[in-house]
Amino acid sequence: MIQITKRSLAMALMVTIFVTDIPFSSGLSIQIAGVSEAQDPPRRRRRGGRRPAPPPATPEPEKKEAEPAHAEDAEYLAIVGATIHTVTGPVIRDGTILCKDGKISSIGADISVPASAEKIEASGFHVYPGLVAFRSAGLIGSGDPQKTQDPFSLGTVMGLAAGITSTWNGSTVGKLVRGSLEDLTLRKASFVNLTYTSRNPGGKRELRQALEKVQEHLRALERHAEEKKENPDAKAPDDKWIRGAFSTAKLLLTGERVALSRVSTITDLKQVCELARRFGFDLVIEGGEEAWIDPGLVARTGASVVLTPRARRNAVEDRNMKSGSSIENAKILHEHGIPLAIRPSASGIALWGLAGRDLGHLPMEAAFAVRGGLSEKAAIEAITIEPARILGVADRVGSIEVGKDADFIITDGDLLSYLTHVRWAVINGKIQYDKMKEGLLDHIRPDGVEKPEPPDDHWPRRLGDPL
Amino acid sequence: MRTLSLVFLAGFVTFLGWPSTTCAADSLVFKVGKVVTMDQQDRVVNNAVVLVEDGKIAAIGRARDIEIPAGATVVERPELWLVPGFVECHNHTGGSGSDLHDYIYLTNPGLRTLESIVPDNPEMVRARAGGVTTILTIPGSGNNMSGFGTILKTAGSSSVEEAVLKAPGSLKIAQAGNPERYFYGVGRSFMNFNTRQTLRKARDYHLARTAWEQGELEEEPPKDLHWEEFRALFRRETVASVHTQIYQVLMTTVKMVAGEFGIRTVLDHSTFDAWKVAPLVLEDETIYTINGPRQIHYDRTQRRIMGNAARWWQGGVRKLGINTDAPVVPQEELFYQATMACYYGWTPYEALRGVTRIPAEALMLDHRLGSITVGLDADFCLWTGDPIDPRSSCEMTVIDGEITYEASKKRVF
Amino acid sequence: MNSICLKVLPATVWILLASLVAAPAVCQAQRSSEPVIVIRASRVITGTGETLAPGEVVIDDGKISLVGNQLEVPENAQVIDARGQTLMAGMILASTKHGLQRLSRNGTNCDFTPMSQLIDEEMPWQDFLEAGFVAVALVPSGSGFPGRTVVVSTDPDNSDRILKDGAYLPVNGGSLYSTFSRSFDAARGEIEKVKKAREKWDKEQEEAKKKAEEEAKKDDGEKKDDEKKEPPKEFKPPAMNPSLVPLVKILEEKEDALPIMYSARTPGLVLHLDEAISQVKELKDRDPITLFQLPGASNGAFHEVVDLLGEREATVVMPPRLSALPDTYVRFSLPAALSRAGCKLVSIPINDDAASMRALPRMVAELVRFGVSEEDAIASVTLQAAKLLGIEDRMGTVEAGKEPHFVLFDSDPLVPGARVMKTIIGGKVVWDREDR
Repeated sequence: MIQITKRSLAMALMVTIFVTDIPFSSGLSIQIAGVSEAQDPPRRRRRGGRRPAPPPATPEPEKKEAEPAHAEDAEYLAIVGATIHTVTGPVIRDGTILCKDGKISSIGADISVPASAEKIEASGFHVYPGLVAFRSAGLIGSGDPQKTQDPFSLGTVMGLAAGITSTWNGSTVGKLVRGSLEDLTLRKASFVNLTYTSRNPGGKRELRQALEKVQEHLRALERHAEEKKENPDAKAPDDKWIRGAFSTAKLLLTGERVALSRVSTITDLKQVCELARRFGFDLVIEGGEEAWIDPGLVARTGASVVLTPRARRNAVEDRNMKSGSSIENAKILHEHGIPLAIRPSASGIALWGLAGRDLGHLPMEAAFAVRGGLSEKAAIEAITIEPARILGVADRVGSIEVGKDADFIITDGDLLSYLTHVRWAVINGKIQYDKMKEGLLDHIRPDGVEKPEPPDDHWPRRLGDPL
Repeated sequence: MRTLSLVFLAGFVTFLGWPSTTCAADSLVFKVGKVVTMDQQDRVVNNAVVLVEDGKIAAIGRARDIEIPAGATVVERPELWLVPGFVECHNHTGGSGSDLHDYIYLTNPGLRTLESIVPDNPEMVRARAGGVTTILTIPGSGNNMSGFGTILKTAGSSSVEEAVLKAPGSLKIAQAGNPERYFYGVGRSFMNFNTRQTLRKARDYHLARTAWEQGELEEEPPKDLHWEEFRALFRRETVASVHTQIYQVLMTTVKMVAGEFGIRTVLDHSTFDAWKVAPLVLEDETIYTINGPRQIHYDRTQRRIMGNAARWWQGGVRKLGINTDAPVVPQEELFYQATMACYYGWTPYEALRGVTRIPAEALMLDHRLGSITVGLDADFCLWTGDPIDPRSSCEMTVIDGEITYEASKKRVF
Repeated sequence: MNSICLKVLPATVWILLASLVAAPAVCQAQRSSEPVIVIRASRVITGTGETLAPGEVVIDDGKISLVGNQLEVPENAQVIDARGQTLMAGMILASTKHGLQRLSRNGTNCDFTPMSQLIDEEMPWQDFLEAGFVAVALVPSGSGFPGRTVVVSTDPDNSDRILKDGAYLPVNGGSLYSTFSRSFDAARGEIEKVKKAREKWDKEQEEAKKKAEEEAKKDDGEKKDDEKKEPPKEFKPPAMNPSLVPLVKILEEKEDALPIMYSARTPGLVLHLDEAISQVKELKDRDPITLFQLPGASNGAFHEVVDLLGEREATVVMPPRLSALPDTYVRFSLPAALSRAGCKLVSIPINDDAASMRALPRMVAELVRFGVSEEDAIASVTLQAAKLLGIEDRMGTVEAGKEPHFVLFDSDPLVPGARVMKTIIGGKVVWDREDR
C-alpha cells in the first residue's frame, strides 16, 4: 500500500472533492452540502438502478372518511372543480382538494367542504404539485432559509410565478414562503460534492485510496463486531485518523451521504460511475450531457441524473467514439429506468430580458425533454416528485397525496404548454401567489383573454401618488 | 444570374440527351397533415400536398386537388405539419466567431461579412435542426457601422457562391448600447454625429456617381470601395439592420436612418422599453421591427413584466418579427424566442409569422422566402406540431428543394 | 407690579399658572449674580402643542422659568433679541458617528463606549451646532453588540460633556441569530457563575460554621478569643465580564437595563428579529423590542412591515426620505406610513455628515407633505428623540423647568430654505450665523 501522510491526503481530497458553486464553503474543510438529520434515516442504496417503487394503482383519492367531522378551529382551504394532476396517482377531473392546517386532508370528486374553508373555484384550471427546483439561487435565503430568508424578496415571487414552491439553495431544501417565516425549511440535503476527473489524475488516485482505506476500516469494524461476540475484550480498530476527508469518505461508504458530481463528458461519467460501483455509494450526477452514450452504466450504478435537456456540447468529430450532447438524453436515460430531474442551465431568475433559459421557465425546460422523446408524464415527474426524491423531501412535497404538505400550483392550462401561467400558488395550505393580485403578469391573458387591452402606463409616476 | 444559370443547366441536361420526360424525377412531393402557408391570405391547408420542382414550390393544395406527377419522389408524412423555413434577421454564426468585429474605426463602412462566410460550419446543422433555413449574418455591434451583412441559406453548401442568397444583405448599424466599448468610450452624441457623417459621405458619393451615370457630370467621380455598397442602400434595394435597444436610441434611428436618409430600416433587438415609441415606428410603413433576443422588460414604473413583442403588437406594430442574435441565443432556438414572446402575451400565429414571412419581407426577399407560395424557393420544414411549442420537433428540413436534415437519421435538436 | 407684569393672552392661560409657580424663583434669581436672560422671538414653537407669536422665553438660574408672550422683563435682564426669528427646542440627534475616530469592534462589547473614539478638541462641534443640534447620541461602531450609546452636549466649551452615559444598546450585523444566542448565552453564563460562587460560598460558610461549632464543643472551656474575633466574611461575587453586564441586566430585568436598538437593513429582518430573540428563553415572553433603526429605509419593501411595527408602537429612527415600492419607481414616504400606523418617529439625516445634518429640517418638512402633523414632524427631531434617549425631563420642549437649549430659525423651520440663525445651549448663544 502506498504510504502518504494524512495531511497531504486530506489536502488532495480537498482539491478532489470540490465544487465551485456551493455558496457555503468554509474553504478549508471538505465541502459537505448539508448534514442529514435524524428525521431522515440513511438512504438505502438502490440496487440495479431500479426506479423507486411505483405508486399503488389506485391510491388515496377515493379516501372517503364517511363525511369527516371538520374541526372547528382548523384552517381549511379547498380547491374546487379543477383537474388534479396528482403526479404519483391518476388525474382526477372536476375534483376537489381539501387542505387542513397546511396538509392535504382529502382529494377526490365529491368531498364535503366545511363552511369555514377558504375556497378557490378552480373550474377549468389544472392543479399540479408545486414544482421542485433542484438547484436555485435567489429564490430563498442562503444556508438555512429559516434564518436568512427575505420573505419580501421579488425573487421569491418570481419563483412562485414560475410554479416553484420548493427548492434546494445549495445547502438546504426550503419553501418559497412569503411574508412570514413559518415552515420555511424542509431539510438539509445530504450531498457530498465529488469531483473525480481525468483532468486531475493525482487527486483521483488519492480519493480512491482514501475510500479504500476507509473501506478497509469498515471491514475491520465488522470483523471486530464478530470477534467481540466471542471475546468481549477484543480491541476495536483505531479510528482516530478518520477526520476531515476520511470522515467524509466514511459518510459516503456508510450511505449517510449521497455523492453529487457535476459530470459532463462520457469519460468522466464512466469514471465516476465506476468509482460509485466499486465502493457502493449513492450517486447523483448533475449535467450528464453525454450520459445518453452509456445509459446502461448509469442504470447499473443506480445513479440519479439531474440534467438540462437542451444543454449544448459539441461532438468531438475527430474521435472514434460517440460524443456531444443529445436532445434525446432525457428520453434515453428514462427508458433505462434512471431517476431523472430536470433543471435549466441558469439557477436564478433573470429579469433583465433574456427569458426562457432560467428557473422562471422550468416547465419549458421539461418541454424540451418532451421534444427529445420523453413522455409528458415523465417530464412533469422530473420537475416535481423526482427532484423531491433526490433531495430527500418526497415524503412532504412533489406530488398531491393525502397527508403531504398542501403545496401546489393552480394553472390556467396544461403545465407544459407555453401559454400556461400559474394562476395561484399555494404553500402550506396558504395562497402565496395570485397572478391577478400580484400585478407582475396580470396584464398577460387576464382570465384567459388572448388579446387583452394593453395595460395603462403609469409613467412617469407622479411624486407622492398614494401607495 | 441564377435564372440564367438554370437555363444554362437545363440546356446542358438536354444536350446530354436525357429524355425530356425525366424532369418529373426532379419533382419532390410532400404529403402532409397540415401546411401553414404563411402567405398573404394566411391559408392553412389540411391533408395537403406541396409539389417541388427545380428547387421551387410548384404547387400547393389539398391532396385531392393536386395531381402528383408520375415518377415523383413522394414523402408521405400525414402526421406532420409543413411550415415555411424560418428566416433569421440577426445572426453572427455564418462565419467563424473571430470574424465578428474589425475594430478599425468607429464606422467601417467598406467591410463585408461576405469575405468571412463559412457556409458549412457546425452551427448550420443546428440551424437546420431548429427549422432555420435562411440567415442574415452581420458583423457585431461593437462599432457604429461594422459593415455589410450577407444573406445565406443554411443548407451547408460546399461553396460560398452556392450558399449566398444576397450580398450585401444589409448594412449593420449599431446605435448605442455596445459601441461604447470602442477604444475611446464614445457616447451617444458622438456616435450619432459619426453615423450621420458617414451616411452623408456615402450619400454624396452615391449622388455623384448617379449624376455621372446619367450624364449630368462630365468627369467620372473616382470609384471608392468604401462607399460602393451603399449605393444599393440608397436605391432602397437593400436594408439597414440597426441595433437598437432603449427607446431613445430607437427614436434617433427612426428619425435619422429611416427619416433623414430614407434608408429602408430594420429595427433589430428593439428591446427594453423601446415599444413605447410604437406610434413613431408606425409613421414609416417600410420599417420592420425584429424583436429579440430579450423577450421581456421589467417595467419598474409599474412593477410589471412586459413581453416586448406583445407590447409592440399592442402598440399597433404589425411588421413585427423575432430574432436570436445567435450565438447570444443558439440559432436553433429561434422558434423558442417566439415561444417566450407568446408566454409573455403575444399570440402563436402572429409569432410564427414573425419568424417566417415577416423577416423575409424585412430583408426584401419575400419573393423568394417566407411562405409556401407557388414560385418561391422550396425552403420548409416538417414539424411534429405547432413549431412554437418546444415539445414539437423539426423532423425534416428542405432547402431549395433538397432534404438537408432528417431527424430520423440523426436527431440534432 | 413689582416683579414681572404679565399681559396674558387667552390662549396662554397655562403660562400664567406656570409663571405663578416660577415667580419666586425669578425673584431669587434677581438676587443671585447671574442675570435673568430673556429671548425675544417672533415665534416660539414650544413643542407642547403651542405656538406663540411673538413669544418670549425667560431663563433663570440655568432653567427655563417662563414661556409666554409680551412679558415685561426686569431692567437688568440680558435680552437676546431674535425678533424676526422662530425659536424652538434645540434639536437632538438620536444616532451619529460624525467626528468620531474610526475604531470598530465586532462581537459582544456592551461595555464599550464611543467616548474612546472621541477626541474633544477634534470633534466638529460646529457642524452639529450649525445644524441646530444641542445634544447628540454617539453610537459605537461595529457589528454585534458594539457597545452603548452615549448622549453628549454639543457645546464646544462644555466641561461636563456627557448628558447620559448609556441610552441604548445598538445591535446590528448579519448573523442575527448567532449574535443573540451567543451573547445572551454568555450573559447567562455570568449569572450562573455568580450563582455557583454564591452556592459554594454558602456551603463553605455552613461548613465553617459546623466546624466552628464542633470545635467549640470540643474545646469547650478553652477560650480562643483571638480566632473567634475574626469578623464574619462577606460574600464577594466574582467579577462579571464587563462586556456582558448590560446583557445580564436585561436578563435580570434590572431597573437600569438599557433598551436594545435594533438596526434592520431589510424588512425581512424585522420578522427574523422576533424569531432570533425567542431563542433567548428569558426574553421569549417579554414585550418585543420597540426601538428600531432602519438604515436601509429607502428600500420600499419596508411597507410590508409597517403594520407590524405599528402594532408594537415602535420608535423608529430613520432618515425622513422617500422610498420606492420594491423593484419599482413608485414612491411613498415610509416614515409617514409608519406614523399613521402608530409608530413614533425619530428623524436623523440621510448621511452622517454636516451637509445632511443641515438639510434635516427640509427633509422633516417633507414628512408634513405626506401627512405627518407639523407637531409630530418637529417632535421627531426634538421631543421624541429626547424620549428615546431618556432625557425628556431635561430637554426636547420649550417648557418651564427644562434646560434652556434652543435653536432659532430665520423662518418657520418647516419652510424650505429655513436656516439656523442661532443655537443656544444653557441660555448661551454657542453658534450665531451673524458671527460667521
